[in-house]
Amino acid sequence: MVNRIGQRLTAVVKDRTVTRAEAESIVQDAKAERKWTPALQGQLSTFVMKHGAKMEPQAKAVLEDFLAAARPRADLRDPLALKEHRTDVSWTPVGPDAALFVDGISADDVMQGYIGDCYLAAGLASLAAADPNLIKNAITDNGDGTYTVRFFEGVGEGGRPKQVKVTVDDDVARKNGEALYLSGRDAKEQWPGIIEKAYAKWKGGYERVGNGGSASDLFMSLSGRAADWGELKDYKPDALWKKIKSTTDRHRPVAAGTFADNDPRANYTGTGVHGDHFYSVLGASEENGVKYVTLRNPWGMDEPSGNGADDGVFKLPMADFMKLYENIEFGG
Amino acid sequence: MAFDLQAAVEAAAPGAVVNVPAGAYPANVFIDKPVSLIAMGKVVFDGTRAGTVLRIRTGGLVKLAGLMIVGGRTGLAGAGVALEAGQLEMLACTLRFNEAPAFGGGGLCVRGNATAKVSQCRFEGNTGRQGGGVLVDEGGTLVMRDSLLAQNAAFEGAGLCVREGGRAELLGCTLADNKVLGEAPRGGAVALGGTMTRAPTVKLSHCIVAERARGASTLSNFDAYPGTLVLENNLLPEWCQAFGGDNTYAEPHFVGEGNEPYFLTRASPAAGAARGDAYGPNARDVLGRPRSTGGRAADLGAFALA
Repeated sequence: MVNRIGQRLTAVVKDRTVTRAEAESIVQDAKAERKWTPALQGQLSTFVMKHGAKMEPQAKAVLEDFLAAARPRADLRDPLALKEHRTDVSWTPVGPDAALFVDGISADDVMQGYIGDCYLAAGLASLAAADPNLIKNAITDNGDGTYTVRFFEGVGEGGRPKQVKVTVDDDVARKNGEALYLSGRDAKEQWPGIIEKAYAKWKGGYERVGNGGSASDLFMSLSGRAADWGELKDYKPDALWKKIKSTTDRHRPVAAGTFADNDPRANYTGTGVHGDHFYSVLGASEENGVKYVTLRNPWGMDEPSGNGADDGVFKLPMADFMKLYENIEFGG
Repeated sequence: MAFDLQAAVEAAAPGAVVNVPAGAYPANVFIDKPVSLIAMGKVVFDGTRAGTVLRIRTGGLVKLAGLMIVGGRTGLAGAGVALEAGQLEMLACTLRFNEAPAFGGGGLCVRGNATAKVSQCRFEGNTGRQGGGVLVDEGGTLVMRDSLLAQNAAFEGAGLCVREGGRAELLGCTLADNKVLGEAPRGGAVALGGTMTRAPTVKLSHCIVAERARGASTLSNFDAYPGTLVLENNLLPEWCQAFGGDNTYAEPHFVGEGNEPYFLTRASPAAGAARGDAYGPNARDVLGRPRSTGGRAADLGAFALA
């Protein structure tokens, strides 16, 4: 028994009868554990069974009450953090009031962290808006603080896609207490971080998914259906608007990427749109003869001015969309 | 009347051969049927930094011969040539100065169960996030021979990056002076990166790998989910000896100047180092010269000794 609880139990057993004060002290230590794992639960449970006769009745009751109420949480190996975060990341358990879903699933749940996976955050928000059940069905709560996310591999490669199941725990990567990676707008909401963590684990770590990528890969991985993508210049504006509208009306996800910051084809100064970034495309509409697309910044804030709440969601005239965005990805 | 590449491709019947007259053409063309584009003289397709030069998605075979493909730039995968479905045969093409900064495959991207057979081609000065010269991803297959991958740049796999079940087999190629950049650079010449569930496979045979930047990451196999890397009778940098196997670890002794700095000198350990009939009968180098003459053993790398 080399852990803290083990040391406490060993010390207590050496003495005579275990008092209520000692039991309460053990419970305090147990509650202070970074994570109450099934192994620690088993350790304490064994201690109570083995040494119950040496305990004051009230001491035994204190420990038994704690064991009955405790919710052990499995502690799996976390994916490797981004290289720039490796020296100061701490993986800490999610708070006790956390929930996989809070008030259902919506695009507004998704808040990108300090990692270059805007394609993933935008893609998840698009999926949440288009088909929340797809997200709900992709995650299984294992009841022990771990979650299994079902992905598909080999989509669009000719054969039958293969299911891949990746299990992660709900520890959150933090620096100075702040979540580093994808999180819910309500910090208690876990599903965005769980999917990102499982995606990172599947692909080999946050470095592998945190330096750009493709929203269509995410769409295919979560839906098992082939995706489509292209460059905006290859579309006529009306045709593209219709394709966006028909795709979102069919509850399929769409995301669009802007030009790189140094690309001569676009100047983002004063537009409220950011270069080298991915946005969710939530829909298409027409007002007074002007066609618009509705977009969402995966930061969950920061949009062109005059678009209402600072929630990242904004409408852009199709003409501006064609000028400011480079590529577009459609989920199947 | 000026030749219109997009119109010619659209008008071509499946299986048709489009003879492209000599000239330089702006090109951001989508090829969705099996066709052959054959250069009749010096032909340059210029993406004008306005998208992928040739995007190919077909159920059949597309052939490209004698083309110079330059100036592609895309936020998607594959700036010079993006092979998304079907088969591609590329002969004696040059892919130069194409950029795929957001994803990868500056020169060429092969993905989604597509297969590219590349012979006597040059990938020079292309950039991409992954795979500056070539990215093979998601089940794609690359068979490359007698080709040059030089001076390409990327964050991962500057010459060649093979990921997620991709397969690449290189025979008689030179990978030289490719460069990795960024926070976590790896794979100056070649990077392999698998996932939890599928690994890439790369085989280099009779190739020369010559990178100026020292370090084991010249050939980089992802620690967490490594792929299968097979090295057979290559000339590799001395600092890559940890890869072991049946290879020579030494300086390549290139000419180092002029139009073809990667020509071999007679002092090169690559000269005459090919085994038996490794290249097969009537083999040619990247310049179309015979692989061996007068009974002399053939050489490693893209260039036969002059």
